[in-house]
Amino acid sequence: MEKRLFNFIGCLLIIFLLSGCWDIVNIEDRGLIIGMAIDFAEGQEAAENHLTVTTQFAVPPGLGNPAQSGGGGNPYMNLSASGNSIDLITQKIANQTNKIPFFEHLKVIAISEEVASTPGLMADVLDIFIRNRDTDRGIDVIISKDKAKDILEIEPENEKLPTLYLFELLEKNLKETNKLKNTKLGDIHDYLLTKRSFVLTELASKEKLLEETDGAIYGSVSEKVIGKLELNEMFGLNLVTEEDARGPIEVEIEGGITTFSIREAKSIVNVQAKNQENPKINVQIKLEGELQETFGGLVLNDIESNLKLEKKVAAKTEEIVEKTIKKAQQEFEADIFGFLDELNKSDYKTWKKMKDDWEKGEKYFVNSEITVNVIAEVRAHGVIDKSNKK
Amino acid sequence: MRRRYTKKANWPSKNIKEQTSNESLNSQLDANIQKLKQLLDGPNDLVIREFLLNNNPTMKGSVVYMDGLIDKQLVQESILRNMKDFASNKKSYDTSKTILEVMYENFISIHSVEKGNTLEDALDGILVGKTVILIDGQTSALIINTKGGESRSIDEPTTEMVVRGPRVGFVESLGTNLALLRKSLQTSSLRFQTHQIGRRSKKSLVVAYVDGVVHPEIVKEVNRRIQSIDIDDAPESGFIEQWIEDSFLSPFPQMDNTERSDKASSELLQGKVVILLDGTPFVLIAPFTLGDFLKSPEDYNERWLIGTLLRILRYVAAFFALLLPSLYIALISLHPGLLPTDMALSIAATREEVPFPPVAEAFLMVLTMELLQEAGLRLPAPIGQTIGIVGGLVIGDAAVSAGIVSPIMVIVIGLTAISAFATPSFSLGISFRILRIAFMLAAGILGLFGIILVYIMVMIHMVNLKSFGVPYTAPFSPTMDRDWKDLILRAPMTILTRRPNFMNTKDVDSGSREKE
Repeated sequence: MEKRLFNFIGCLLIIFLLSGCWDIVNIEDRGLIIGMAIDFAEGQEAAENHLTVTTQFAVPPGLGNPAQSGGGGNPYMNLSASGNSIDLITQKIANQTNKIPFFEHLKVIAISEEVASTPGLMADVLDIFIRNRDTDRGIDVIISKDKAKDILEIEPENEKLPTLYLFELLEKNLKETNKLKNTKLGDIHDYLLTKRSFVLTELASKEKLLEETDGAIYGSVSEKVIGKLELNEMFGLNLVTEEDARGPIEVEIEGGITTFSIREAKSIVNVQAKNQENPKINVQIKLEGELQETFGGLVLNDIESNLKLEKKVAAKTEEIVEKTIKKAQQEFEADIFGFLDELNKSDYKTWKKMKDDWEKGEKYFVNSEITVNVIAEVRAHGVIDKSNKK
Repeated sequence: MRRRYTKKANWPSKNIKEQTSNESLNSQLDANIQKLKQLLDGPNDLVIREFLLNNNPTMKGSVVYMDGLIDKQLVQESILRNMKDFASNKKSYDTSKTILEVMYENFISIHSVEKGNTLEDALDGILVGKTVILIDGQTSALIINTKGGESRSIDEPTTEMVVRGPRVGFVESLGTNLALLRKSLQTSSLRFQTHQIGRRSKKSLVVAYVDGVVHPEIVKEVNRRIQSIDIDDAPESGFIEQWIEDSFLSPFPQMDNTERSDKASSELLQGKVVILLDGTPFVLIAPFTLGDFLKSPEDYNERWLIGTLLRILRYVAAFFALLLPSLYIALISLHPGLLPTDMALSIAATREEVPFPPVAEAFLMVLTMELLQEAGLRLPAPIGQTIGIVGGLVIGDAAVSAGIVSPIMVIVIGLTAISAFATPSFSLGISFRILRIAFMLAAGILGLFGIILVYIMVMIHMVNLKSFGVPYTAPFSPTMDRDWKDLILRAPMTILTRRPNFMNTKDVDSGSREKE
């Protein structure tokens, strides 16, 4: 009995003493990094160093505490340092603060367009974030038109932390309009491994305010950002790729502008590659939605006007999507829609033959024939049944 | 000086047992009386009333009893008055019978009378409130049950309040308790087995069960364990519980105690055994499992949806009471990445000026909470309220504004304390309190990994534990899914037609959905 007890206590001590409490760092001692920006080094530092990294630390007392009114102070601090590798730079930044950098709450990584446009560099700077166990795959990656540091210094009206503002902007607001893409670090990891082109959101700031937004195309062939998509083209992209795209479509009907808003959208991509020289890709989009607003005299109380609107909406959507496809196919030669993945799913043997020559070499993607069909359905026309004209 | 106290030279080194007198009664009345007086050291409350039989000076008798233990009116009306009649009666009786038999048959109008042949019998009888009649020339005595004395009236137990249910609780008198049990369970198969417990103070103990329902081995085992008890005195059923429980090292209680007669009787019908001890209103119920501890008699008194909701709530409360402070420590100290960002930021803001690490903070608060609980428990109600107010203010407000603890810690500890009180059984609540500290220590050192380690340890112990042969975790493990109808959920009454499977009752059905 005594011996058993002794053994038990011994085992307990061994568990606790050997594993120890080496990774205890209390939450208030950690510097919660919520955003990072990666730029090329400038000025004097440029001679020896390659990159400048800016990290945004949240300063919780500055956020204001309901219990202790006031608080005051800046809710965040941006610290920058230059160096040749991200890890070394973060070590340098750690020397500037009394807290231990903590990456598990990192939300947004902003990369300047300059860095992203250097072949291969974007994959390299993201490597540490993909590799590290502290950073999760849900981090939003965005491209900054000018210096990425400036993006972390915007001053939104309703939010104290610029990074959280950006994160929520990408997560919530743009889900409604579908004009931006919140490309996650984990997705980028996939894309880089499968050598697929993709689109990131590009933001620009001016005088501490977000100025313009559009999309940046990352080309897998040249391994850099090769071009831009306008917001409308981003919408076309999302209609093809997103599960549940939403947003308004404006059509002109009966002498006035009418807005149709999507409530449910479904896209089916069919890739036929029997003839390797000329693969046929068919994109079928089904839209369901309601009449949101009309400046003309449109009233949907008969089948004909309903069908008319549906046709108009379908035509308009086709136009938007085709424009995006054309731009990606002809101008940038980048398969940002993931058509090759569809082929992988439907026809593995052909995919195996074609995958290395999809965007480069034989350029099957550029030679493919892409058709878009849109079926639109108007489900409702709001709670009125009369309009000012009738 | 000191030496004198510690010296034990004059004390006999041998263990001296209590003096007993299993010698038989002397035919000389005076000798018997002398002996009794000597054994009890002639106390003031010993009443010896002498009388003459048939006015014959040679025929002496004595009525002996303890003042205060007897029912005075009963002794007065049924013994002393009859004795007077007997003494002055000139009628002749059947001479073939001894005078005691004559008295027994004709004059004692009390239902429970027995004969005793030894001094020991007489003495034990006197000490429990019986009245002894000794007659000169007789070597036996009449021992008449005149137990009485002061007792409390039956009212609602304050430890187990219910909103809806009978307002009857056990009292300190065994006889009353047995009657209460009979009243609430009117069946001929209710059995009582009596034991005597105690070396110096002999107490009656009754094992109650429903014959034909309970598994016979359980009754046998309970009786065997009770017979093994060898203590001076059992002032409370807690003594019995600790003598007969399966594992004294376990933090978990293996028997339940209750003051409610309705709970005791309903448990009897579930195939359980109830142990009643004289002198305490708390009766023991065995075997008892973890699932039973999280049930309350009131679950059945309300409609099943409410009962089910309360059960689920209680399981959640049990997890809170066990794990909440340790989860807080682990998340704040070791895994802040698991918190949502907004929450991490607000917790970090409130903790900025707190001087202690979360483990120390949590221990400080738990200690304060336990102190308040303990202090409030022993105080009379009016002062107890003061403690509550002072404690609430000290913990809730002053400590936070002084920057010693963070407001979130106060929420965590408050929620934990409330959850601990939500467990229906006080003894299970205590074991949660002990385990909570182990969880907190492990969380402070190893974080979530430590919590999981301790959890596994507790689980291993729990599945090993048995209560009178019934696995403690039944019917979770071993899995008896038929019993899950009345576990976390409380199925509608019409569906609960079977007694618990894990109790292995002889009579399986407690009802049927359609009456035949």
